[in-house]
Amino acid sequence: MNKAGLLWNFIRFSLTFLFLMGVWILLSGSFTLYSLLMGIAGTALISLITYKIFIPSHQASARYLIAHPLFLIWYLLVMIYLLYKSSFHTCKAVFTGTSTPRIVHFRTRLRSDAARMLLSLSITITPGTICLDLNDDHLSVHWLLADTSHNKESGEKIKGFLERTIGRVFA
Amino acid sequence: MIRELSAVIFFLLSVFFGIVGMIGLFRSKEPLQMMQTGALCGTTAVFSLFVGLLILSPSPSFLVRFILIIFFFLISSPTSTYIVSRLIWQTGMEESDD
Repeated sequence: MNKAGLLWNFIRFSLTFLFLMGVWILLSGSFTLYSLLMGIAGTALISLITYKIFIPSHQASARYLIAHPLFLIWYLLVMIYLLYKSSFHTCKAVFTGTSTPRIVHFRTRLRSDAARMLLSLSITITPGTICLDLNDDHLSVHWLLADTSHNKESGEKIKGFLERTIGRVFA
Repeated sequence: MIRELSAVIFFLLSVFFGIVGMIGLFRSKEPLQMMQTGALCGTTAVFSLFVGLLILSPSPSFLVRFILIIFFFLISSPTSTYIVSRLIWQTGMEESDD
């Protein structure tokens, strides 16, 4: 492996280590020597095993990885609203038995892997829609209350608002 | 008092969505429909429970940990749903009852 490859691997390892160490400190809430040493040992081991999974080189850009904090908070509020709105719609469908399930396919304009993953997670976590497949920019979604068979229209109804919000988070 | 009342509202929402989710689970005929109505139990009910607990958290350290647990749940829950649904879709199980 050349020098640039080694440096890139070291950066990926360091970022994974720092993230996991932050989570360890938050969860343990302890700064004793024993706790910190255990945390360092554990996170170093996990980072060594997993660092190659995260951050591929073509995604190595701050705008692809680091979320805008204010828009992230806005996104969370939007998600909470959509979660409860869709839940009540699904409840209505359960009681009335009027669901019209359909599998729809559409594309997303989001560029980064992190943003696309966040979009597919958001679609799945919203009751009434489940993301079945994410292949590059192509999404296949099971829609419980489908009111159109047109792919572009269904895409706009399912992900339009979410996509615009996530687009701002990773802008 | 307001804290406790808000928490109770979220706990009641959690119970409501849990019960409706269970009813939906038994009323649905297709596996993917079951996944959809089951999401009411698995997502909205659990999320409401977490928000209720978040409101009742006694100290900032608990608050931060609860937020961390909620974040973990918001990532792990749809991921597991995605894995099961994808398997159902790829194996054609959603058409088997037609």
